[in-house]
Amino acid sequence: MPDKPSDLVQGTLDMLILKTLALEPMHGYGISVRIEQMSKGVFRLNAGSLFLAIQRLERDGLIDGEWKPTENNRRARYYTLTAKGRKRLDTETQEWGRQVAAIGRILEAS
Amino acid sequence: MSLFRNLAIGLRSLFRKKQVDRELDEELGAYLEMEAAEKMKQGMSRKEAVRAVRLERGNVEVARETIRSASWESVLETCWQDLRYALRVLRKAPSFTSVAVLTLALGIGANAAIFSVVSAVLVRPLPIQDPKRVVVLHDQFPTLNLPRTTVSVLQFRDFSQRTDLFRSTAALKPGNLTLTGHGQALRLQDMEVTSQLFSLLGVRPEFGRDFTTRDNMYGTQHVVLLSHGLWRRLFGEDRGVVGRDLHLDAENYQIVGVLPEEIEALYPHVEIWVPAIFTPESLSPRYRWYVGYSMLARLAPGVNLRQAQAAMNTAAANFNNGAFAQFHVEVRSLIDEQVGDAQSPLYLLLGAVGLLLLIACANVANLVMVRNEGRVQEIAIRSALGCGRMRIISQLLTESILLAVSGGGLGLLLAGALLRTLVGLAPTDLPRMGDIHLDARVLIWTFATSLGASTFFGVLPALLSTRPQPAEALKLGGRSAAIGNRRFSNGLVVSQVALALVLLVGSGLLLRSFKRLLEVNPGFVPNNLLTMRFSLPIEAMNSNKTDSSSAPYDPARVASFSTSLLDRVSAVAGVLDAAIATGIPFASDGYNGTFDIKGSQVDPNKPGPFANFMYVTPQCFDTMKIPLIAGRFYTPAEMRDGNDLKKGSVRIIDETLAKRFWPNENPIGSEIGNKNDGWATVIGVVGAVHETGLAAEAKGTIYVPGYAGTTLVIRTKSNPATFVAAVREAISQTDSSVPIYDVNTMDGLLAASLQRRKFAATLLTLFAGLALALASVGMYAVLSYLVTRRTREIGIRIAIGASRENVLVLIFRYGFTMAVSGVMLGLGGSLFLKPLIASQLFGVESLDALTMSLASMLLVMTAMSACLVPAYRAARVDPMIALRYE
Repeated sequence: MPDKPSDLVQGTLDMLILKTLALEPMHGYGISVRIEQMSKGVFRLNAGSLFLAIQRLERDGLIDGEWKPTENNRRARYYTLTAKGRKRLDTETQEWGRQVAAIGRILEAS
Repeated sequence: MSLFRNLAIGLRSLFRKKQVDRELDEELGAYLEMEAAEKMKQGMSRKEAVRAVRLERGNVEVARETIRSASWESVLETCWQDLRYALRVLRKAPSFTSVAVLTLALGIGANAAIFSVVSAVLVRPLPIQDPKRVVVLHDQFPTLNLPRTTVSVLQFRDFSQRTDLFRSTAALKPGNLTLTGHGQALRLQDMEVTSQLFSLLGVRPEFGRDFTTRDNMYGTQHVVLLSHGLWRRLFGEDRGVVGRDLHLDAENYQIVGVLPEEIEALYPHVEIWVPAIFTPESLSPRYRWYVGYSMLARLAPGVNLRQAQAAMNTAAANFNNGAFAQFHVEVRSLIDEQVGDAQSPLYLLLGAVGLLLLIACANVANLVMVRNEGRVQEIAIRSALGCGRMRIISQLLTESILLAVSGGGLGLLLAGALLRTLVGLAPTDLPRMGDIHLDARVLIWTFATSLGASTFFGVLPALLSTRPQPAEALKLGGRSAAIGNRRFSNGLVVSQVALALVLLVGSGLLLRSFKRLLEVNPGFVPNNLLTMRFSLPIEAMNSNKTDSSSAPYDPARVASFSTSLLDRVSAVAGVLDAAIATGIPFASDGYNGTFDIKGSQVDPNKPGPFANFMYVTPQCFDTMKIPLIAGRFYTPAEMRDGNDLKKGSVRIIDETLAKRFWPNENPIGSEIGNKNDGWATVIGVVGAVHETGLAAEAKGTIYVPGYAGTTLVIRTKSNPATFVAAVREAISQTDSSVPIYDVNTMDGLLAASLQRRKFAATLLTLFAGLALALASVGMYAVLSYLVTRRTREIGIRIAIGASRENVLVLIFRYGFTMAVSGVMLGLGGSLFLKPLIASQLFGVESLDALTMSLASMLLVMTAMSACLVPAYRAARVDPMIALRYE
């Protein structure tokens, strides 16, 4: 195993899941693999926190879930980004960019 | 939108729980499978892969619980679980549950009932505009036993000129009018008022017009306003009545309008309103002290009641210099005037039920705690299995709330029943008693008390009983006698006993006052006396009222009517004596006025000797059995027309006046009256009659020979109630058009005058009895639990030689110590009773030693009998069984 995975910044998991699903519908495992790959192994998700976040997003109407067969003949729930979810992703990405830039400026200044 | 979605998903998982759980399991399973398959591709064995996944991704069980408990419906589910568990637990302990629920129901029921009465009588606002700014002005003559009288016309005029204090003023005087021309002659209760009254109160006629100042002027056309009730009764709510004439006391009155129903909450008995017309005579200085009008005023903007009172004190002081009697003017708020004497007994009862609720809560807290202590092991096992402290407390709280809600519900039923009894028991003169019902405010109050009670007795025991460490509790096998708990529940029993003692002392004081009151000699013999009132026949009314000095009736006709009436009534078989008087004790007194004593120097502008004047026929003293103390009674030949003070007029005075005005001399032969009207000779002194009630001092009465009265007093041979029909018959033979009303026996009037005290004493005794019962239940519960817990210890004591008596003494001593500490505390608490109860007492001090010692003895004895069963059980402990126990 590489370095100990980092904890996510509070509230960013929702955004990462939305981002992952913006590319294509995916099941829970797919989401966690994608996040791991894209973060180059920095973020490893615990099953509990992943599905907790998924449940929350689904209840907020940001994603939709649907049972579908997988490539190796199992059944899994695939999640799709809703229109509302896409809008939320946009605003959160912008907001995140603004915050990161601001924090960066503060750190450079000192 | 998302709220709706959240709700829909939540509801689905509530109602299709199995399927939703399965889906979650499947999803989690698939997730882990896929990860494991990935790892196996990298060369791990299946077993290794599964283990690695669990390490990296966490335990599935934990994940599932985390996900489930995050949703709102799971909170609901937990509550539902708690509720079902609580129901099961309570059902399994029926005696505990029923005692606890019943205790709460008693406390809450009594509170809801009394609060309903208080809310109807004291809290509900008067149906007028800004009632707090309306005041009533009274004359006060403290040295004459006249704490509060009406005012005279002249005073009303003087006070009304103080526009710096009062924005507007009004005078009112109740009376009776006989209505003819609408079927049988009807007696109507009227109120003479000055025209500003309705605008002062902010009440407008429902239709028609208000009175104007012109209506109050002498010699204008007579007009009336009808009450809503009379309008409905006489005219069936016909709006065309305005402009019609009514024939009242043989005169025509034009109806100008109808008043709204709301005003009947303030003046429930008034049927018809007429403008007050002041005669020029009543405005002369001679009549300065002839009180008779109630005076209302609305305070001027920026003036408060205290300032108005201070200003009136200054104004009154001018009259006191060198005056015979001290004179004050009281400014009292209309609300106080309305509620008046009802306030203090109601607050006393409210205090009593408050204490009762405290006792009930302490009792339930104790029961719950004693029970929870028995459940220490159950709780320990649950927390050892990983149940959080919050979860346990929430479980225990659910039980408490369930108890409180059932107690509150049952209490509300009880309150309904109690309230019906209360309304039946309540004195008829309690204001606004008519519209008492359990209203929304009472519902809120009950719910608040039961919820408050539940947190009180739910949280405290819960905090205490979750304290022990599970390991310790398990080790001790559930017998860890938590000393703190024990001390707390002993404290609860002691405070219950103390509170119960306060209630017992209170009710004892009221009962003793009541007994003292019954011992008071009313000054006459009340049993076998029948009283009724009649209206004078129309023919006796003087239709020529324009003559200002004449009385409103024809004296000769009244006299002949009255004598023939008395003759007929006296002829009824079984009637011993009959008389006519202006008033009767406990119902209506005569009227108050000043008089002079010939030869004494009195300034006519200052309050002089003052008395209650009664016009009575000569037989009155024999009929009522008022004893003659000195001199003689007057004879029929000495009867005169009321105000006639010609030569040869005589008067009889009572003992109170004789002592007050002739302290060291014989009043017989003195002349009283005034220098304008003439003088009358005092020929006799009779015993004083308590005319306004047994508790009130006699005012002092002058008996005038005259026929002005319209109250018939009849002494009968046997039960007076059986004579009503015969007497009515005799009266209608004299004149069939005469209405008869207010038929009462004197015993009935006497009882009615005591009704309010009886009401308070009965209820307080009832509450004290309940408190006593609750306190002994509390003591019983704690002691029997103690015996159960100490069975082993007691067994050992007996095994090593303690006798049964020793064990009995042990338990009794425990109970006795608690009872005595409670009594001591309660005796201290009784000191605080004084401000609440002092006004309700008669002939008894609020620190009455006899009452206090009797109450203490009763309480200790009851407490000891509550110890009996537990002590007996302790003494019968079989050492062999006790030691093998467990």
